[in-house]
Amino acid sequence: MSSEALERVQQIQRLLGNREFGDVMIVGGGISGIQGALDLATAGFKVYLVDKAPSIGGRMAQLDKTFPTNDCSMCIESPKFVECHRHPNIEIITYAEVAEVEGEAGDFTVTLVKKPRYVREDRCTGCGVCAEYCPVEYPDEFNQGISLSKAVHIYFGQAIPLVPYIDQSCLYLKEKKCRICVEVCKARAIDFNQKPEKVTIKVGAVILAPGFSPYDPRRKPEYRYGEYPNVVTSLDFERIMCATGPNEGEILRPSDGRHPHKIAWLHCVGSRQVTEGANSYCSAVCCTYTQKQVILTKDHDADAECTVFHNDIRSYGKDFERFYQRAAALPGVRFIRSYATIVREDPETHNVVVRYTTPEGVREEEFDLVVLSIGLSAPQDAERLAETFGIDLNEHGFCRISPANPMRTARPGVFVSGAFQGPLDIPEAVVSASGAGSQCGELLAKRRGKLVKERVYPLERDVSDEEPRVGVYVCHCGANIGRVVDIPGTVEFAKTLPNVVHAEESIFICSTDAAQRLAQSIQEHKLNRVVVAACTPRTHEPLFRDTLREAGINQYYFEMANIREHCSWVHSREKEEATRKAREIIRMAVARAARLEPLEEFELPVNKTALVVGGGVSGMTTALSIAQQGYRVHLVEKTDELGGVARRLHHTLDGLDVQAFVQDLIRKVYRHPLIQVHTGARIVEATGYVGNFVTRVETADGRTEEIAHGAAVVAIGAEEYRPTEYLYGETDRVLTNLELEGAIARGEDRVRQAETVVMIQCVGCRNEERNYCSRVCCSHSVKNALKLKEENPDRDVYILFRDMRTYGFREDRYREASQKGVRFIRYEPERAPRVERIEEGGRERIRVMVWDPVLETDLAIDADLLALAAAVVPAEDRGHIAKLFKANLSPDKFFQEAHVKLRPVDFGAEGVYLCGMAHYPKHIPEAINQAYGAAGRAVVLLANDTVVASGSVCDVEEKRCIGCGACAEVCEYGAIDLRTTRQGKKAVVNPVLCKGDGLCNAVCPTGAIYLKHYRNEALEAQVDALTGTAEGQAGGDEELPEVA
Amino acid sequence: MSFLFRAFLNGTDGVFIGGCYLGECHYITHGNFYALNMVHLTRRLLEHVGLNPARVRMEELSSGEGNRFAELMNEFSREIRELGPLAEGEGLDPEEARTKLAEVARLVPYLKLAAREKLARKGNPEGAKENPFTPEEVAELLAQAPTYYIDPDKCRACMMCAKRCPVDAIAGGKGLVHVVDQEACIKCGTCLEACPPRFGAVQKVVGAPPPDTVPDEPVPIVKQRASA
Repeated sequence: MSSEALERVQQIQRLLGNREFGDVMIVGGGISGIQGALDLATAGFKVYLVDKAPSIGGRMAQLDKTFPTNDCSMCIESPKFVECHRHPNIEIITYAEVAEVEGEAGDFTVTLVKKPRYVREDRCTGCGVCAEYCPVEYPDEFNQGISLSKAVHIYFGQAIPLVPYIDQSCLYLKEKKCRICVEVCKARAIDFNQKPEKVTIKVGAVILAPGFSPYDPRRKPEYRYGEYPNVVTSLDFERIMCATGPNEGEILRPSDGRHPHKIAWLHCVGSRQVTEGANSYCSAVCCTYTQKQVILTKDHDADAECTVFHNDIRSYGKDFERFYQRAAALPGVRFIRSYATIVREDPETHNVVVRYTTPEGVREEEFDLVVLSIGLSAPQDAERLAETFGIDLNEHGFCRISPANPMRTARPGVFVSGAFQGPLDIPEAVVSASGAGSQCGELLAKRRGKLVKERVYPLERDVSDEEPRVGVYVCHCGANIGRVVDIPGTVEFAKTLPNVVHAEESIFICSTDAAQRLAQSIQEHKLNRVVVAACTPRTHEPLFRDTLREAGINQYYFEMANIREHCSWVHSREKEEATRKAREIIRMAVARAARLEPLEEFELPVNKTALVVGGGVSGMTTALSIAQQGYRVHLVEKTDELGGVARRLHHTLDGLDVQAFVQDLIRKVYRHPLIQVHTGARIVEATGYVGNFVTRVETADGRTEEIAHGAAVVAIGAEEYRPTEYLYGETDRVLTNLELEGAIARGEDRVRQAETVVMIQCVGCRNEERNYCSRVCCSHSVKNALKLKEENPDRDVYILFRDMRTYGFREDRYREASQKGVRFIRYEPERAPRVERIEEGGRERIRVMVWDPVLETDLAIDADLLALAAAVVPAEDRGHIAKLFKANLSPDKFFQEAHVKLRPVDFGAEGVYLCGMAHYPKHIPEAINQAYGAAGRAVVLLANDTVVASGSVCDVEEKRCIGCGACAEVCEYGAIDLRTTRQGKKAVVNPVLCKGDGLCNAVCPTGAIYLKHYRNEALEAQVDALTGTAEGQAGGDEELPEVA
Repeated sequence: MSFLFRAFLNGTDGVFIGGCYLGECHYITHGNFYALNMVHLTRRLLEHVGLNPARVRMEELSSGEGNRFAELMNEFSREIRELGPLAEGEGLDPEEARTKLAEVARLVPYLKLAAREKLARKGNPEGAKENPFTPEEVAELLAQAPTYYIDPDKCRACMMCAKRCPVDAIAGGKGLVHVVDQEACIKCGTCLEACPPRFGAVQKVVGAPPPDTVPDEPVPIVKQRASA
């Protein structure tokens, strides 16, 4: 943040003083908005999460898998939906758009218009019966219109809110006919009287996270999209591949529903083009998502032939290079570097013919299916958003942002996160959300915690001396379960089971009134164990546990029997057997419930101080943002000066004056009263755990200091590779990119006098030793080339490259360089350039020889200067720091985040965060996004007085422990110690570090170590209840229906 | 592993275990490798007692693979139906097979100790699918299962072993000769370690039944004479 912006914020903060004002509104409920909402809400702010779609989830919800780990997209995103839904400080408003924004930072008044969904959210239980009976079929928007849905339907299975909406295809809305849904809805939730509704909300800050719009290939008719049935977009293909998609995960082509065997992908559809209807920039994600689709297609059908027509392959992200190699190495997969066009389709087979060039000439080839790798366009309503919120857009229609703070918009108090910043990938959308959240926190620091809700529960009844009294509640789930499973009979069966004192049925046990009745019923029947036989604990267990707390019994006395997903939904045609299975499931649940024990979730105090390791741009930015929110920060830098690698940079492609920026940052860090800077300092020891770390720092003069802190941020940066190739170090005419940048800035003679400059890309990486792309070098070379051309337009500048990876808006500068006469020559690694020193007219020059694939000849370029795009390599002390903070390193020795997509600045070890080049090479704006992101995550922890640790952790029955140490050996979390006692060595669990995965239980020979809530006795009782012994099977058998 | 044996001892004909894909465990401990190794060992143990190892099957599944799960369940049910009821399907006497199973099940704690290294092995997902235990190795493991007994002549009734025994399998009390209850003993060897070397009363026997030292009644120790 520039100094003027900071002053402005401070001025606003002064003006507002202690006046009452609201918290934050997030516009856009995709993964970025969700992350922002969760961070802010947990850090003590009241958040409104607004989405124009009928559910939160955004584009990520539509994806099948996510690269480069191929995690199931919905599986990793949907738990966050539930978390948002359950969060007491988040209010989700869907199907609504912002109409008006008034006021200023700290005091906005936002007017929303809620579209009518014609279904009352307060009554609907999400059972889906309305959709089943609705007679109108309509293309399903969520499935890209590939399959049909009903006029009333739930947007997608995991939608939050899990409430259907009625769209304009409804017969009643069109012709006042039908109303079947009104009749079949047992919850009386259908309401055709709903009208658009205006809602006014006062908030202190806004985060815009509207995402992107997929490029519409109809804008360029030559793609034949919408014309040839077997030309689909990559987003269509995501749905086609997805298990929850139109074909339940079978890849079928649209024209005839057959399995396509030969599939082609066309890269850069709508991207990197300056023709009418296309975007000039690179969309940054398509190369890698195409590779993902190829890998997944091969997973579906090992014999599929996959062909990718591509321009540069831009595998610039962490692990992308390996991912590309993995895709390219699959049998039957071809990557062809060629511009490709769709020429015609076979009228009979609807196969599509693609024309492309090879070194041997132009070819035409027929494919069963063509996938267009479409790019990311600015959100469709960007202009309206800009107008409503008073922000600026850039020439591509995305939000105009400052390279010094990519989350800031032209309007103070309105921040931007996610793809509205420009084309980017999921982790960047997540990080910028945490970062925007951190800046809201700076602005609203004084408001923190004032509007948050905390729930108060009655005192828990001590039931430890009572015999188990189990209550069983069997849910019809509308018709979802009741239509298949005989519910009344199952209730009668449940009453015969051991320890069961009460059983009843419910139409929807999860509805708000039913949950209240459940609490009363628990008290009335003096229950001390509760079994709910209904749906999945994944979504509903938190609700029922909460109900138990309200009824005054320990929440761990609860067990759920899933008779919907595990039973009625999958056995809908075998009603009797389904009933029998439902009873078995309930019998097991009751057996376990009777053996459950109460558990305490314990709270650990949080030391509200942060330690930031590394004083580069990332470390300083993080430190400032944390300090601006009122928390003390220790900034530890191993060298004698702050600034890091940025000290060697002078400007960026997006026009940032790096030296001025860094000096300003350093000044602010030193001036901040809450930041203590330790330079020339080495970390010698780090102990403790989340909220309570103690780190010992040794300064150059040998003094050591102990710092107690609650959170730590690793921002140790990276280093420039010192080349051993291309005569580096032998003459001052060969220098690295960073050295060239410095030489240009200082106006050195060797630069001023240089008539010919050659740059060689990928020096020291994308090879066997460093199998990754250093991400920044292509743009760096383009930047230097432009500067050299600006100084002297007649100068010859050559860039010898493998793939130009100027992703995102940087593509425009690559094009500019090309237009200004910078010559780009591609080389293959097996035909790498060769260099030699020559004398010419008494002057030393470097002769560079390279094979020109276009001219098909060897070129010899005599250069005055040779610049090497030297790799970015991990910092030298990474191993030391990783070990101290229990962090992992990736195969390339950069720090490994907890989850590549959704926890990009967290570590597996709680309370430790990550940002900057320690994570992976990145540009300054990206590092700043991440630095604010790490600050945001750290403050989520620091803003709370305590952290709650789960009650379900391991413990040791000391008598049974033989001290063999097997448990301690397998516990990667380091939660188990062996202590010497009078009875020999005994294992001891540190519950703070235990994650409750239970591997120690499995390896323990004597069963001494156990996982609370999953004790052997309870699980064995379940096994017995299912498989056999007389005691376990007691109850109810004679009533089972005979099975044919 | 005890859960598996428990199910079979209850008369279950087949057990299916679904786990996450190897290498994709949500926890950094990657316990699914361990689970798979245990299944490998269990299959060999079933084989050893003459039961068909196909009665235990472990598959990797993700939460997005509902259809595959259904297919696998149908396939497994079909296979088990073809195998017939436990033991009968193998042409064994059910009672005899049950006794043998129970014997092996009792050795689970010992097996976990003896095969500790192999059970904890994590490799690449492909390699992990091969059974690391050979039938001979498992037979040897079982043959090597030790028996601990206490030499009544040497026991000084010091209570050291009895106190340390994790399963309270050592009878006797102060002043009474200690006796290992072989039914309860889990063969962990703690008593051997605990017995003071100057007594050396606890003995480890491999490959032979323990000497019949179980007295009908508690035996007081004979006070040693100074000259002995």
